[in-house]
Amino acid sequence: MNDGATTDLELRLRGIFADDAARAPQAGGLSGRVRRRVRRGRAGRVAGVAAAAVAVLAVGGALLPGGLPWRSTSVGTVPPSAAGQAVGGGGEASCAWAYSPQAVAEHADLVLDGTVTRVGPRWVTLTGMPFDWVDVTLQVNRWLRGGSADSVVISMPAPAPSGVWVEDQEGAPQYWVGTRLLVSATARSADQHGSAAGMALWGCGGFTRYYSPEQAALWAAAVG
Amino acid sequence: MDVEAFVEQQGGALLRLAYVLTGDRHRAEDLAQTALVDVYRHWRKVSAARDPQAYARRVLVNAHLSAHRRRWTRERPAPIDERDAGTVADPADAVAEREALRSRLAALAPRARTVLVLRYWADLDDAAIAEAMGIAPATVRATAARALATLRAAEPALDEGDRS
Repeated sequence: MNDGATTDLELRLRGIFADDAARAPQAGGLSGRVRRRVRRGRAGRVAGVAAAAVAVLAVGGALLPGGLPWRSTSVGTVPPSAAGQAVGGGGEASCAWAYSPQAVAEHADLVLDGTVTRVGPRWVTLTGMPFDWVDVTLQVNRWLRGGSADSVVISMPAPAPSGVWVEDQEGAPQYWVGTRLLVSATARSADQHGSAAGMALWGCGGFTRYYSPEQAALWAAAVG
Repeated sequence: MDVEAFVEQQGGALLRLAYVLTGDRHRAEDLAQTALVDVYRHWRKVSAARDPQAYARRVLVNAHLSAHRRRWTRERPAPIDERDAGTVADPADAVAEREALRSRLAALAPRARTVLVLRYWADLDDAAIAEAMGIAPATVRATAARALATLRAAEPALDEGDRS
């Protein structure tokens, strides 16, 4: 720690964080929502996810979090060399766990092989500001866990808008219309965000990777 | 303690931590739920851990950072407003000064801001911060030092002593 000279800055930081904490939402009902999310059970989630996917397809973007259109230039090509790699350089770890097919099996509510068919609409905050998340529609090639619909909408970090692949994957994730993904996701309760999408890429089940037959086989074996 | 009691007892603290980290009540609720659902699903392992609260905190912090990782993977210097540099704030303008500092905080990389939150709000020592973030204590110290330097650089006249 620095000497006393930094005390003023530290004190002001403490003050700001304390102010923020004082404005935090109350936890009333949090434990109940957690219990419901846990007790919904896998079978319940399967039905719920499938229904959510159908609902989203039926209403288009009307019920989605944002409603802002994402640039339609969300088309690009992922090179064959990326097959099996984590999307965006993330996915090597999720929460406290390193990636493995077993970790996918243990933590993901939703696992599928799908091809991106639409990117958007983008999320917005309650104040209308754009947020770095977007709802992505995928044509499902194969469900491994969590649904049965032909298409599904997943909330994901927004992709790089350029559509031009770069090897350095430390920027925005690189997926576009036409990209085939192995998706693992965490189910999100319906009372969050007012979203009909019902699930999110991130969370403790997010290990999404570019499709490869080898990874798909490993995931299928692990998920059972 | 059973899992229900743990969730009741720790839910509020985790939600506050999530809110201080994100500044967004919906994302905070999502993060807190993510951590607590994981605690539920792995309660046997969690309850056997030396510090179940630290386990839940680690899940929350990593979920928070994972959400940013794809967009914010490099430490970024905070933008310094030239109009602020080298000027002495009017003491009566403390609110504006605080908001300026808040803006500079928001411009820090998520990992840097997380270190500051865990240090100055959660009052964790470097070892506990390192455990929560899955990084080395030396990285915690280096990240905190850079973040503080970035914040100080924007207000040299206010923190004259910081450079001593």
